[in-house]
Amino acid sequence: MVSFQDRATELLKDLTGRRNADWRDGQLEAIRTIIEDRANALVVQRTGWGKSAVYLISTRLMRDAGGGPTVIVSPLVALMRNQLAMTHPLSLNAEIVYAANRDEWDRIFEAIQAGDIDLLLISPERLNNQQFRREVMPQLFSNIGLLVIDEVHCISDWGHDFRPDYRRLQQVVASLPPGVPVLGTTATANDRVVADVEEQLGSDLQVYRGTLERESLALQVLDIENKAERMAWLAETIPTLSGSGIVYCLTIHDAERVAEWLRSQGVDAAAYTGPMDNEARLEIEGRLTNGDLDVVVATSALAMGYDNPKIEFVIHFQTPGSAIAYYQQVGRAGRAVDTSFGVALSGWEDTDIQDWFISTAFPNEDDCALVLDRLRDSQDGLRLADIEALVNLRRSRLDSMLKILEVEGAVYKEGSRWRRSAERWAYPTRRIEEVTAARRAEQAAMREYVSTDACLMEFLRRQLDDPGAERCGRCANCAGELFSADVDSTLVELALRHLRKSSLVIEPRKRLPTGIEFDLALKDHQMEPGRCLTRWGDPGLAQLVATGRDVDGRFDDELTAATARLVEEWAPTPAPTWLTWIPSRSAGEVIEDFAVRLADRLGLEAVSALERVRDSRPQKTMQNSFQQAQNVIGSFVVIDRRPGPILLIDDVVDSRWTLTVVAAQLLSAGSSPVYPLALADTSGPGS
Amino acid sequence: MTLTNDAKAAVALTTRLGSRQRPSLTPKMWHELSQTLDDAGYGPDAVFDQSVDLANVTGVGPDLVERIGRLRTDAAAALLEVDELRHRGIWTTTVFDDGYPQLIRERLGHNAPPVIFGAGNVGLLTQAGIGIVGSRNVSAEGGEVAKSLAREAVALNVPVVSGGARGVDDLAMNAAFGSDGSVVGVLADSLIGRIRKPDVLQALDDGNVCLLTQQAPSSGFTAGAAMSRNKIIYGLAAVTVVVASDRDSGGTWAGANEAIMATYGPVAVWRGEGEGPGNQALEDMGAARLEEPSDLADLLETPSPSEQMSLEL
Repeated sequence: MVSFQDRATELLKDLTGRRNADWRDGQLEAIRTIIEDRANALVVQRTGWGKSAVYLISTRLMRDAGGGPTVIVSPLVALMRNQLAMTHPLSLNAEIVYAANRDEWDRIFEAIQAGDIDLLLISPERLNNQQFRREVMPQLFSNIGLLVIDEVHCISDWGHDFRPDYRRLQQVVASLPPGVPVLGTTATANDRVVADVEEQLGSDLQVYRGTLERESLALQVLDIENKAERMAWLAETIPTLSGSGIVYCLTIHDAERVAEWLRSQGVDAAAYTGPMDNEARLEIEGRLTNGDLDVVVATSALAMGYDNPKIEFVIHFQTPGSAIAYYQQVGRAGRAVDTSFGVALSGWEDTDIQDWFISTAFPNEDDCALVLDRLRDSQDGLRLADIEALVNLRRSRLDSMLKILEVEGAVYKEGSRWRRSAERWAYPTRRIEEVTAARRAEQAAMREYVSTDACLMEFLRRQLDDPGAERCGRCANCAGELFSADVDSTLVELALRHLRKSSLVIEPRKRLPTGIEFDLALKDHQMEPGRCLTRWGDPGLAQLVATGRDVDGRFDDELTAATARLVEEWAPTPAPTWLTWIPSRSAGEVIEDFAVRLADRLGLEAVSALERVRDSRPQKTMQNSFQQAQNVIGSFVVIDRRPGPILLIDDVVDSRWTLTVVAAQLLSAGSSPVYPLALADTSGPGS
Repeated sequence: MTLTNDAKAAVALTTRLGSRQRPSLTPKMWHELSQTLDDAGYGPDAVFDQSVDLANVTGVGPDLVERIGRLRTDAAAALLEVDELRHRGIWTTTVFDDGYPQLIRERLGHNAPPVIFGAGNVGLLTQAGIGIVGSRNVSAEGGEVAKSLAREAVALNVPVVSGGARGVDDLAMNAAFGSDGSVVGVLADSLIGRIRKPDVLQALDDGNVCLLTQQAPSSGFTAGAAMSRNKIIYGLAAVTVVVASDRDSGGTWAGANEAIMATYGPVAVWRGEGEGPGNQALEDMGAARLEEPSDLADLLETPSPSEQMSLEL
């Protein structure tokens, strides 16, 4: 009879395709824990160590012994596809269930019932999905063989990657029939996160934890405060590097702008951000993997999911707020290559953006109390649109608040309606303070990383509580400068110009929020897509907008010139023949003065066409569509007009409701088309 | 609240969670099964262990073994519903848990429901309350008695324990709330439906109510459920006062009879304006006589089991 170890080793060879394949320290032991002891295991190992071998081989062994299927909970679709591809050598019949393959669910569900599925990959969101819970999980859990929670650090709200949907996993684990082992895997967990995972998955957890060293990765920090200089540095340095890599930015806008800039400098670059659709992201991942791209400029959306061992450099255009997050991202480099680089460029805006993420991580107490009270008092529960009408919160923040209240057990969802649960709930002030303090400490540690003279890799490994942390001998602090911080001044000038001209499109709002009354139908009175000169908080022109509005009381001539250039480059057709402006509540004549000068430059007639008849509150303080639209309707009347195409000017644009509603009024009065134009976009971080 | 494996066995075998149509084990069958398993050196969670030959170990018949086998297959669905309920703020407690009401365990013995579902302040279950029961169609005078008794309970600083049905139950509970008292409501139907109501949610928020049921929280009313519910009321009360009962028929009559015979808890019966045709007979069977709501305190002089317990502690 074949011994357990021989059989497992045979499978390892099949899996890797190498006859001389050998176990990594801890792999076989973890499999033994799952299969022989039927006990829970936590594997904390760097990416590339072979965590998947543990659950793939365990699954094969279990299925061969007549056991039930393995269910893997994985946070990202990209990750699941990689995992799916790896099941072939062991002839495991694997399927993914996620939102985008709904048309295949019935087939998959039938296969589960028939016992034909060896391994099922699902996102944590599935576990919160009512249909999945009702129709699939009872069957699935009745003979589940192994539950794997990938990227298990997401379960801990101490961690940088906390996901509310993961919190529900604790209860799912508690609902498993007795005797089903649970395996958690992650590459990034410090002691505190490990302790939190132990608490949530059960104390009998066997922990397998290995070194986080990356022998081929050399790290450096370059303090280049100015954005344009950092852009110039990238354009100069990336072409000198062999292979492909990733540039990380903290905001979506920066990722897009830096990618655009690099392309303008002849670098094959593509942006990769959260809002991009799945297909587009997969395409970019594919091109990067195939070496068709020099570099992907990404937000943290490209983190856990992307598995490419050939990445040779990871450069941070801005630094994240924690050393763990940084290690996770920079650790994309240097897995199956001999030399690789991880360079952190530290900019003046890093702390501000990090602060924004920290301060908006939790919903505010008053908002929570208000929503809970209204839910409690409602007879039939409330739909999202009903709640939006009650609280001054933007949709995405409201979604995240409800999700947090849901995992906290204060609310639940029945169909499309939210209801207050029977659980008494108090705002977890203390816990939030503790977590916030922990994030502040992480932020401080990251600042220390940027300025330390000590070994950089050792510093990161210590932050992750890696007991084997030691001098790497490769980083800039150990081995001397890898890259110079010097930048070419001509390139800096070009980068500055690029920052100035990267304008933003203002899309018309298409649908009024439910419950808002407006006598004009937006679909019949819709403005054209417009332009916005800058993003609030950016360096360069955006700073001129801020000082012009808030300090000087006059917008600089450079802004009129830049705006005129923007309109000329944009060249909307039919061309506008006149312009008007949104009368400002506080800034008085500043916008009118600007509009008149702009009209002069563009050779258009400036007409004072609008009057403010109600003193609404600043749109910036209105946080969601309902409140914003409500706030602007009835605030302006059209008092004069010309018949032709019109440029409609405002100083800042946030929700676009002011421009959309006023444009509808102008269109209804007979002026068409209406092109909106604003100086600065104040939505998003930095404002 | 995490269920132990024994607790999971109780949920799997004795509840109708997970949209089950099939009959689960009665409390009595469950207690007997766990007794025989215990005698054989196994815990209740042995039912999940495929290697344990139940017929051999416990001597139970093939029908029951087959029934247990089917219930075990459904265990996942039942356990998932426990999570679903928790999500709505409904807790699940089993005889194996510390949170299970001690009075029920002691007084009901083999008739104690292995699993109880509830919402709200469990602290209210640690002290014996005043049970107030009676028919749904109570007379105006009977209603007044129910309200007075509830106010007496509040004055004595103990919760009113009642059934959460129309009539006597409702009047007593509302009177208790009206005097800032607390209430333990033992429901015979849909706990899930009950916790959707704004006034119930408000009371839960204020912390002065605890709702319980041994039925699956999504199930509707049945006569059997009402009878099981009555046991719990008597079990949780230092004394239960029957305000008005029919004679030889109806849930109130049957519940009071059973409570007296099986000594689930002290029973008193209202004798005066508003009483029902069965009240006299209940007194004859051994229920204490109550003629003035203010005499309620006298009925409490005999220490209740929980008081005895706290004295021992």
